[in-house]
Amino acid sequence: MINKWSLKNYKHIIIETIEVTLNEIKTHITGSKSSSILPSPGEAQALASRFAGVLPRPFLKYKPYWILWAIISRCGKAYYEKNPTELYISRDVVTRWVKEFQIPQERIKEYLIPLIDYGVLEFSDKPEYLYRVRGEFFNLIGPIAQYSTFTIPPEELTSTMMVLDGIMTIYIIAKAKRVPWLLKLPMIYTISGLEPEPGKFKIRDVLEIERVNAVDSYLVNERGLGKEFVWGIKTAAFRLMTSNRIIERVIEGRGYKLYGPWVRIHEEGARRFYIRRFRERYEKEFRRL
Amino acid sequence: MSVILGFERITRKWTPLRTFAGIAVESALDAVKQGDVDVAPYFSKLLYLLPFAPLSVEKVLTYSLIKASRGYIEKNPSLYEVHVSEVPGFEPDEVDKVKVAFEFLHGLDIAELIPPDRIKLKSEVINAIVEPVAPYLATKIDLSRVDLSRSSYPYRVVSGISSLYVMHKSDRLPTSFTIMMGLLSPTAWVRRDGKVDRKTTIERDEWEKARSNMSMLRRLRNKFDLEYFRTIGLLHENNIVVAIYPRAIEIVGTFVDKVIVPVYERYYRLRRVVKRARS
Repeated sequence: MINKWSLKNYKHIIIETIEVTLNEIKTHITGSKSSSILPSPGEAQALASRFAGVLPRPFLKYKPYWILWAIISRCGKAYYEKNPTELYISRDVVTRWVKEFQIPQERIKEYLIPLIDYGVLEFSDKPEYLYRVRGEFFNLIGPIAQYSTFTIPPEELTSTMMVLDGIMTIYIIAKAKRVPWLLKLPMIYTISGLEPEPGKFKIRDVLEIERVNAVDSYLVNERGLGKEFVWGIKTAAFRLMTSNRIIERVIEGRGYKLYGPWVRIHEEGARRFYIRRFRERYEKEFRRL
Repeated sequence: MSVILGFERITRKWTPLRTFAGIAVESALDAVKQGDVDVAPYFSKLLYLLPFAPLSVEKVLTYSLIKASRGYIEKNPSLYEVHVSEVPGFEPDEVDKVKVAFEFLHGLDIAELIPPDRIKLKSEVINAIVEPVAPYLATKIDLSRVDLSRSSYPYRVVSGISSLYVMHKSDRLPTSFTIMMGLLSPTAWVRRDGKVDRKTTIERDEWEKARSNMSMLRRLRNKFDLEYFRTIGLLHENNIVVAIYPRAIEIVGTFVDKVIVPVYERYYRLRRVVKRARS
């Protein structure tokens, strides 16, 4: 029912999957020409929107989260007006953040450190400014955020915001190399369906109820997680999966059908992890000889 | 890998477009017969758009299907029959409208008339469309409290199935349905090795291309704009469009998997057969 190999290595596979996702989105949104798994930019946007609503904790407290949105807004404006000076953050702007977000003056550094750690901001190369939005982050978020500088048509509003949120989430998680449980559990459920065929990395796209239960008992019995903890996270994770449409529909009597590209990036993540592990082992052998 | 059959080929001329839409009805019906009941709601309310069908058909057929599925579960063939006066949603003086619908269903070989004022669904209809949905409908809709004006999920299922079956039987399609299939056709394509690839989003430029291709067709030239807006209405009303992104539109995955991909597979096979026969 469940693939023990993938569950044993879930931490690495999940990180690999997040990196695959970030690369996919980068490829499509910045329009670079490297080969990709997803066929079109729209597909990448749809995939990104599946990661929305995960971020605030444990990475950022609420106030840094607001600052982050202010930075995204700034990126959008800079992209739309093609004006790179918007990306520089002066002492003035920082004092405005202090005042408007009601952050104590002596603690502002503490609030900005996570943003620097996660690669959103970096120290400025021009002496008159304090910080600068990192180019990588700007290239990723600018093309979508530019739509927020003018009125978005109402039917596009929710989904555009979800795409922005999702891109930002993937970027920060990929930089932090740490995935919150809320997202980790759906990913574990997904990779537990890896078919045990050697050489073919296929994941069953129907999430069966038995599989969910088997994963839960694996986490409790063999990984030593608390039972109540798993139950609590499970409910929240299912809420995330339905509200972000990771679960596409219910198949009566069998389980839940998962969103296609979501399954595909997990397959790719598992494949890359396997290849990397294989190469590492091979290199070790080689060195011993 | 290069594409040998994609949306451009389908939307550029009327015959492929019409064939494509025709096969779509068959595939959707097959999906329902195989037990995927949740494909049906995507086709609900299409009967109203069929130009030659009387408006009362939708109600009458929906009611008889609901009644028949109860009959199927209880193994009571007398419930396959419907009397003129029992169809809800009609005033007592509107009996003529119901009778017109009866005649129409008889004409399409869906039901047989039992004079003076009854119809009975044919056994092939029971086998084809009542059987797969009966367990579902019989538990969800109470026969004594049928309200045909509602648009909740179980009603949309019946409505979709009846639309599909009438289109299948009469072999005529509403123009807006044909346009809808053309607009949704970019979600899959056939590669050179004969395999079908899929995606769930349509890029804005693909959409515009499909739209402009179809607006040039001589058959649609006069009425394209009107039918296009009707199509947009259909797409939203039947929840086929899930989300609209700045440069793309997302389509519900079930529709792509269960309808569009099988259509491409069949269409591709059909084309190869025709080509071989010609050569």
